[in-house]
Amino acid sequence: MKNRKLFDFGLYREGIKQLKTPGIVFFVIFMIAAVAVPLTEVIDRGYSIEIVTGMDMHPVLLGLCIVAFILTLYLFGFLNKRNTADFYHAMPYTRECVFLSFYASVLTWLFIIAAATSLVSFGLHSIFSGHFTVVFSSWLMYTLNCLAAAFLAAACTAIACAITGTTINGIIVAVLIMFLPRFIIAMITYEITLLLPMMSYTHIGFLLEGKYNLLTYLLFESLGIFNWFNDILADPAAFIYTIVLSLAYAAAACCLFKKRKSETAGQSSPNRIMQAVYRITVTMMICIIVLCLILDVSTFESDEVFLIIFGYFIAVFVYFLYELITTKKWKNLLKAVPALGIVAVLNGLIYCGMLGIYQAHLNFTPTADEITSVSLQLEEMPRFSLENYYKYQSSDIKLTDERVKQIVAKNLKENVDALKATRSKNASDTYYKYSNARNYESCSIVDDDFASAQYIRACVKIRTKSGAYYRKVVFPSADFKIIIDSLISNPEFQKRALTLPEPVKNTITFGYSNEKHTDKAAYEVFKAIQDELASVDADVWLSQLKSYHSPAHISYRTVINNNEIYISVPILPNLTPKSYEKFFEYTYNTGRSDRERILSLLKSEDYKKYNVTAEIVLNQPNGTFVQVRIDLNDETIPFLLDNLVDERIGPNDSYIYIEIRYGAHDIYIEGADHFVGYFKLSNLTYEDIINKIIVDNMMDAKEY
Amino acid sequence: MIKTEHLTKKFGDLTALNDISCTINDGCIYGLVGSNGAGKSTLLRLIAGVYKPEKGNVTVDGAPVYENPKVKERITFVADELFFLPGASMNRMADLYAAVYKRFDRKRYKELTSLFGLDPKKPINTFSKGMKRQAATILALSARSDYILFDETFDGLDPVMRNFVKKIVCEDILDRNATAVITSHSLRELEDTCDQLALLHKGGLILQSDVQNLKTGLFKVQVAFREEYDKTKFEGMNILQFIKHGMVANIIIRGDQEKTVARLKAMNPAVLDVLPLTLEEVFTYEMEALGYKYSLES
Repeated sequence: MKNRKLFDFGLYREGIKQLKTPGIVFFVIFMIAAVAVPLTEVIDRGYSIEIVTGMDMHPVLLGLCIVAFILTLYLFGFLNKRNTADFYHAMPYTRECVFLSFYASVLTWLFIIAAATSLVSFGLHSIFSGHFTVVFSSWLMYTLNCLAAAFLAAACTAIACAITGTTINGIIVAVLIMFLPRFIIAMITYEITLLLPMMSYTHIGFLLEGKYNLLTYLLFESLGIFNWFNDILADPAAFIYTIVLSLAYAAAACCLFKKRKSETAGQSSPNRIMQAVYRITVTMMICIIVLCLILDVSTFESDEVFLIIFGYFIAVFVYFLYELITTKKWKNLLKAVPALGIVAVLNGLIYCGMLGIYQAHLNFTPTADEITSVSLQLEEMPRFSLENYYKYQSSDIKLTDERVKQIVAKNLKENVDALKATRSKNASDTYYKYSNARNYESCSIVDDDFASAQYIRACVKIRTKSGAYYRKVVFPSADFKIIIDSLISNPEFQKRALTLPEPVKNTITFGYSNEKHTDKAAYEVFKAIQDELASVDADVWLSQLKSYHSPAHISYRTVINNNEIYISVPILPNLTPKSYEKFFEYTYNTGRSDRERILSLLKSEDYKKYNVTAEIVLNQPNGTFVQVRIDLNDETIPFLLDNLVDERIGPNDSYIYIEIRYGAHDIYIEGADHFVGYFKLSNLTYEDIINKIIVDNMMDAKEY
Repeated sequence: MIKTEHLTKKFGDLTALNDISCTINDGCIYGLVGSNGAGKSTLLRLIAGVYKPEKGNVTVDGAPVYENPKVKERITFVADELFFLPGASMNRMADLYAAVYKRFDRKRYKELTSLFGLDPKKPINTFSKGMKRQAATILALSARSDYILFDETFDGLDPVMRNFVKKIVCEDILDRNATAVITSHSLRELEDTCDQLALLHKGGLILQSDVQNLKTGLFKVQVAFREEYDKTKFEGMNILQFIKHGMVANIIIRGDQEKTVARLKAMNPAVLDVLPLTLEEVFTYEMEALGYKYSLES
């Protein structure tokens, strides 16, 4: 009776042993990187605390895919030599058992390298907690993602080893298996989104999005082709998809390994059919580019016919060249001719598919009745400001107002019609007939920004009964204002707007200072704002949210879905008076030495060596305040020195915020002297400011 | 018992083995001889379960070999191109064999290593070609398999070492009642070692027989008569070759030597000498009888 054992521990251990040398070399390299990164950071940037994600902590771990590729080629290299193939195939194991035991030993080495070096990296970053704040979930997700990508690389390489007989062919085929499917998908989706500018390349549809295949994604990311790294740290779907794909590939590799004939060793391919498959695959890489050009020509008036002919000439040349290089026989060129028919058929099929996808997306113009809900989307993760955080948080808020649905349906239809009307290379310009359209991501949702732009371009998620689609729609600003109003009045959004996420430890800064406050008192200021905000009227809060302009604000960093977000929260005396008081109590207590230094500099000529900025906030008796940026010079400084007092600022006090940096104007010198201070202004009125200081020096004034 | 039935193996358009049927009994040393490209290594790989036959089957005690670990556990294959792990010593290779072959005998391994005078800690890649073959033989014998397949393993050894290795192999086979299949392109390498011999030629099995039968079943006679004579004079004898120079004829006859000589003596010959045949000559004449023009050393 046949012994169907699928795994043998002795063989597995043997695989581990055989990988010892390359495994230890890679282990040492990765370990050096894991130790060097935090140490270098500590030495280079000893003064600041950084939030570190997995990528920041252990960037070399991205190279685990290359390790997987090399280890798999190394261990399964026995398939490429007759004597080694004979030896292993003569062993008393089934081929599945040899494959699975050896494959497991490759995965074990990958796991050991990833786990050990990541743990060391994590441990060292944690030890230097005075310099780094480690986001555990991000570290874990990053390590898992790198492992998943490496497992996929190992599976792809194992397939290549099973279907080729030489190392060089194994490498070529492995690279093709790893990257060709995604290359084709990326080319097609890129072309379609280029032709249909209302489509969002980052929201093209689940599996079509590059981020889901972590192996190709990490390569493209490291080459700077994509910039979605934060997304994959946030989205476990990419990890799950990659692991599932690697398991499917490993299963395929196992089947092919079982089917492989030992005599394939030393031959470029197991048989003529596989040789043809490789040849056609390589040729199709070029054909895909040509097919994109054909789609260009067929959908728009384009003059790329010569390029198409030239492209196909190159494709045919590569087709025969591949055959000649790999088989080194001229007579095989003739034998390869019939399979060109397959290339032609594949070209036809792929073109039809591309055209079908193009037409389907072009004709997606649902009516308001067909739309169930709409959500505004950010195409990239926000980095700064509370407002951008709100935008990010609004991406899953479903707007179901009839007016909103009508506006979206109407404008999408108009956009599509505008595109259809112009079949030329300038289609994108036509679509953006509103070429001055402002991007939603760059305008404020709580200000009157819309009024300054004729059109706003925003990515919206349109949910219909048949599924959700993402479209970049150009709206007249008046229409878009209605959508924004609907968002702002949404109860869920309002709830979120009044809920501040917790800061990451030791990241709170006050005003425009870069100094991170680590003490408990600083956190108490934040808690005061968080608590007070919870009971504020959302409409009033949102209408008064002017995050960029108030010198009285705290900034901090938070981590949402493993993404680091900087949030800046204004502290308004009329809405959050207790926080306002606490803020100035804190800055008064902690900023004494800075204020003394500022006063001494202003009193001497020394301040001219510095870059000085100042901003005055004048409280009005009616509860509003005026904010003025001023220029400090020989004329204004004596007047200000007469009027500022070094006292704690109260809710009704006017104050001046002064910031002094060493160095020329607008040049920031890292580590150079930098002082900030809030000073109470006594007995000053708006008129005083206007008459005595600002006449020529006023840079900006705004009333709130 | 190893049995092949209608075994056919093709490599693309080339038929390496065509319809081979043979039986290798337990406890024997079976020699496979044939020129380069005859199919010896292919047959051995099929028996070892390395190759999958296109047609026919290979069984050991009735069980198929290919993808059957239980059967393959009983077979050790020493290929013509030896395999050792890169930079490995004999001890490292012994670890590998021990992991793979459950019956691997460390004691026997140590005995043989010391008997051959090889340093088990030295990297094998520093060994000479002959020493590598010795190393492979030691490892294969230590695996204590029921069937050991040697593919031209002894061809690279000097005569002294060759005899020594053959002696060790024969003793081992006898002690354990194991079976060995040895291939060579030279019949001289096999004639003093094997119990059974088979000749492969261009993928076909031309001949297989017991060595003793081969040697005694065919003999050469030099005979002369005073009167004129020709081949018809010897009617009734199984003559494979008849060459007459003058009055003297050289005849290759198959059959019972004693009875044939008695019949010849009764014809009152002027000269009658019975000459011994080497195994090589026996093969040559047998093949010529089958219609093959073939030189074993070619």
